[in-house]
Amino acid sequence: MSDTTQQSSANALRALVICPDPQPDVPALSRRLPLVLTPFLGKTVLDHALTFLASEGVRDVRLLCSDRPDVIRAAVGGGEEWGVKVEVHAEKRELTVAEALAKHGNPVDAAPHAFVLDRLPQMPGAPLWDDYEGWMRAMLELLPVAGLDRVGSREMSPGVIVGLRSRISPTARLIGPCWVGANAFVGPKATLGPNTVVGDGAYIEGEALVERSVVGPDTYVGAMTEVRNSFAWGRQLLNLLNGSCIEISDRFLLHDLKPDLSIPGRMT
Amino acid sequence: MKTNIQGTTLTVAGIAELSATSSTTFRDETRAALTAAVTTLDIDLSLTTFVDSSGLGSLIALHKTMAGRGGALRIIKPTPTVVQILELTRLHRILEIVS
Repeated sequence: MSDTTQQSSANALRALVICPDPQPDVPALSRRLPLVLTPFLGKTVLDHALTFLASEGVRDVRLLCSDRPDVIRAAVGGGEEWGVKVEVHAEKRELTVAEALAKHGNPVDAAPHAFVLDRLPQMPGAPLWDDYEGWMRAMLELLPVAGLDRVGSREMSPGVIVGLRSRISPTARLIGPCWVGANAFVGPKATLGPNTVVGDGAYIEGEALVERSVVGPDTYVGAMTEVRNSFAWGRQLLNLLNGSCIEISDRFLLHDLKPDLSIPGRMT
Repeated sequence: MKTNIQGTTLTVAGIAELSATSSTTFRDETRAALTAAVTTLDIDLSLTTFVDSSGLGSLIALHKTMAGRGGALRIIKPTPTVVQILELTRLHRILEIVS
């Protein structure tokens, strides 16, 4: 996978975004959805990238996808949510930047902004898919500013951001940096943080402990459980330190609140 | 499942899974293998790929059995996935784990 970002024109209005194939060092992140649809602070990685490109004036984005392009197409539609025209092109394999430019660049126009979505364009120094720790580090890097532009998000205390309609028990402890999405629930005497992200619609039962971890959207975390250095999404529990990944069979410990597998949404 | 007694230690090994279908047999056979001389029960989980709440329940029951007779239960070389479920349920704070 190339880590090169090419900006051939400072004012490029077109972008070619290469959506990476499943990566050998982070296989669990692409089990449920293509890598670019991985939950990332209340959105998907692709959503963050499109939001940034739109803010930079890009108006035409071509997504080059070899892993489940139909799923990506369903997630982004025509790009109306970002005010950007988005087209999804199915490729047989992950293209390099040079191959993408040769195949999809238009020599008449200014050369497009072309890059592999192996890092967010707003955070070029933070690779996403080198290892699980890198994915977590990138999320924590974006955490202080992510979500503050979402409707109803508020900073409850220094470093603790909570989304719209989320209910936090008065006896729960939230230790920053900590980010809780919209419509989440945190039960009595639960402890979240530091360095913790809880996705939209997640339900953290009483006395659970979540530390240096990510709880995916619409995920139930059972009472008195302990989630450390992990990514819990639905029934899947991934240890971010050693890559060990299991499916929890007991629903009272960990499970999907939306088992039909919704794509992490956006609420801006 | 294999059991072996050496001195005062009973070792139970060869456990592929501890689930609703196997945990009762595991618990009962382990208890049956306990002699009066056994003070340490080593459960070797190095080959175990699946543990659910029933399996955890059998481990707790055996832990209680050993504590009741003044002995101890140890989890030997659990696989990373077993460690995950032990940590999720906080049983790693109760059961002794030997890596």
